Amino acid sequence: MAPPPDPFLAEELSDSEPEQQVNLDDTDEEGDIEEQEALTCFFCVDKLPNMSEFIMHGVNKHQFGLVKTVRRIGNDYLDGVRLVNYLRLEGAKGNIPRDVTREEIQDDKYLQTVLEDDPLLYSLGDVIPPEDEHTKTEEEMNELVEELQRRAEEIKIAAKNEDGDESRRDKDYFNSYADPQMHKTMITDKVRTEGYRDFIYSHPELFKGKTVLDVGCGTGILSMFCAKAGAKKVFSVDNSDIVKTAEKIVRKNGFGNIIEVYHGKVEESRLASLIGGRKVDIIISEWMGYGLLFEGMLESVLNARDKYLKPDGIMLPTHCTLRIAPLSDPEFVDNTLDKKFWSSVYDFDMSPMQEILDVNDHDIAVLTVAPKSLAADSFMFKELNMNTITAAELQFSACYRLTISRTVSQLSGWVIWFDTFFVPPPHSRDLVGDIKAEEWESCGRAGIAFTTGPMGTETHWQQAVCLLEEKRRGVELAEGTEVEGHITYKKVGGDQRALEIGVSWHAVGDEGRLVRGKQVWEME
Amino acid sequence: MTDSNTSLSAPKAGDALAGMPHSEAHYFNSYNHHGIHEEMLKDEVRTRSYRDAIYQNGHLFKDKIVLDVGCGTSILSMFAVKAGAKHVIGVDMSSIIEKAKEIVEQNGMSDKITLLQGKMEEVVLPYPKVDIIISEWMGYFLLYESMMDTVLYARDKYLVKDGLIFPDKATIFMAGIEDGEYKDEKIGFWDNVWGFDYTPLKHTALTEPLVDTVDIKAVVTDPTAVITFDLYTVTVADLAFRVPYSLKMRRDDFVHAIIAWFDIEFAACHKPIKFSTGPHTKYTHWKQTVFYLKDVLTVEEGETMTGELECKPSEKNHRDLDIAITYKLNTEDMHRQAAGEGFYKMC
Repeated sequence: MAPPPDPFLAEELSDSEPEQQVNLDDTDEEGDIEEQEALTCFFCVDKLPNMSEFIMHGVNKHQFGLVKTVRRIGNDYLDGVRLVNYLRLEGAKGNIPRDVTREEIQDDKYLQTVLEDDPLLYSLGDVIPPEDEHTKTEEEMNELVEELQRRAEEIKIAAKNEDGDESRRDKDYFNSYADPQMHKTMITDKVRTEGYRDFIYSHPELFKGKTVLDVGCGTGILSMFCAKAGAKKVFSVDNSDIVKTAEKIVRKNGFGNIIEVYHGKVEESRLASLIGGRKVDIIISEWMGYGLLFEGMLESVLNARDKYLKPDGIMLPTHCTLRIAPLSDPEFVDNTLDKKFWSSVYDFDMSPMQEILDVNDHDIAVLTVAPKSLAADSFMFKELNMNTITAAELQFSACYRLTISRTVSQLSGWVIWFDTFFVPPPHSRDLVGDIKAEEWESCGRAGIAFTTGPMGTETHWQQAVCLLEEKRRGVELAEGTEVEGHITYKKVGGDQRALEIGVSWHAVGDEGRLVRGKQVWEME
Repeated sequence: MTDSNTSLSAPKAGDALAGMPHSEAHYFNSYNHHGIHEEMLKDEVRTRSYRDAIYQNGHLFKDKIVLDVGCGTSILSMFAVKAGAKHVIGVDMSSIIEKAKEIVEQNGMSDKITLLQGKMEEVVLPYPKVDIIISEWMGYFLLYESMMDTVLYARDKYLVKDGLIFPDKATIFMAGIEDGEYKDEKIGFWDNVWGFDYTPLKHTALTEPLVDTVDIKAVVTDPTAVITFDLYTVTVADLAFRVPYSLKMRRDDFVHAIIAWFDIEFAACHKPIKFSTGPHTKYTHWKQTVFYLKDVLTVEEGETMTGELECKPSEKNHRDLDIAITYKLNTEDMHRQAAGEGFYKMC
């Protein structure tokens, strides 16, 4: 590739070391191919094979002179590192700082690596002019590297402290989202991801030229859907380390100018300055947990809504509804609890173990229930209108009433799941009501809905199953019996991410009070 | 591995999660960390081997003081009592010990078993020395989050001279496998995710060894033993090692990955008892560990691939393992020659 004659370029190239200029095949005499990692441009997604091409690319493509810049900054190694990170951060915002000064990059936050394993950090020596003809000895270099690591560590600690004491639980929570396999599980959950995608792609008019905030962006999939649908700007926030990867993915797909990835909590004030003190048109988030509210991420989304959403803005999804149905399937319960196994494990009685198993009769279990195991049509007991619901309303008590659809020998437990709705304007703020997600389309409603219930395709949420303690189970229910009661959702302890569900029940007109009970289950 | 502080837990057989890679199952079960005990007890190869090793050697256990390191639900302690031990001390860090106490009580062995919650280094044993140490300390790839170092500590501090350790021998094996389809699904998945380029996650996927069951039909090479640990003599320092290996091709095929597993031996038994966690035998909850190679090797019967396996605790986090595998296909055919090195992290 012959660069066009350009006086600016000529100057830039004459400044750099001649022997580093063109050595395109990097082959040494033995014929071994030297492994050199490609250098990613500061300002676009292009990758360049070596330093001289990198410098030429900067000049030709972006009128940016790296050599000149480095000469201006000086020959301090740490300054060089700061410069690279500074340029990467600015590049991500779409800026090309052509006359950056040493003073501008003195903030030590620029010692935090933007691009993981950035080979440019190791190639800097090729650009930085030698110090008084004196090349740094290996020892000196090691010292510098050590200092860099120490300072980067200090910054990390300082950044943590800034947000006060992050609880261990919080840390575990966010760390669990740094594992790529977990993101694969979520991304490959077709019902979930297609639900979001189909709504976004079929309503480009809502996104064109708009600003979007993606709360808990993960790998950035929803942000990219929005960008592809025409969003002008997407702010993608996540407190998990996965955002480093999200950043790379976003750039790789050419959305570096549209999507701004922010590593931190949505509550942090630094985010406000990133958004530029303005409000956004749309907040999108995949915040739903087991039993809908386990993990308590919704509070953060509501917090973001109150702080950042324009008065006429749209929350996506627009609604969620919670449904409950009675479970009656002794065989399913036996297999699930596996009593037989625990009563004789290699001839020992280990039944005390049952209380602490994943699936038991006092914790909320996450299981997939077959439709045939249900004893009645479900009841919608709570609607969350995302535009209006408040954090206080996430702890609630609601009534339900069901009609038993088949005569059953026992009530085994309760199955709870949620439906998710994306309703476009002008109805995005109306109540959804009793309508089921799986009937949404056939009812001729606009938008997209998906269910996580037994009738739908299995999702990674499965269903929240509350199994009754044995003593409460043995009640026969005749077809047509009406059962009613209350459901409560409560947070337990000081732990905002744990959930307690309580259900009470009784048969309507049951004078003998045979069918009557209540129980509480936890998920922590 | 009975320490329930482990971050890995896997699904119990038969439920909806069975067959999922462990990391996904971990996500589903992460709200309850006791699932691992169920999985281990239901691992028949594991539990039966321990039971047989103890029951068939009543003459060794008779009237002896036994220490169960990482006792978990105390099943091994109860085996030892049944085999005639005078007294068993079970030690575990986890709160599972509260359940273990109930279980021991339920089975009428409270006077024979003392259960202590705490670190091996901190608990005070009711006996100054023990005659036998029993422990199920093995982790994935034998050493990942394993409790071998705790067993060695207990050995050096408490085991009488000529005391016995159950089990006392562990060997890591390797083999090469053809795994084109799954590698494509596992690694290639990131090339196109809902129309987007997700390759930044590909690198991470390649560096994470996969704990999964491997079909014996996929094994292309003879298996080879790479390192054996003798529990009587091994030291903590030996757990960081670099050893050569050589794998001989059984047929013309491709090699996409190297797998590793381990065999366990109770050599102190009257008639030695062994079990394997390899692909050629019955399922265990340890499954096998798969290391994908960057290259696909095109191999012919009789050729060998050689290299070194390096494994050491991560400097950053002592519980993580840094693993490096070098490989070279030895062939006359210059078009098929291949060599490289893979770096992996189990964390």
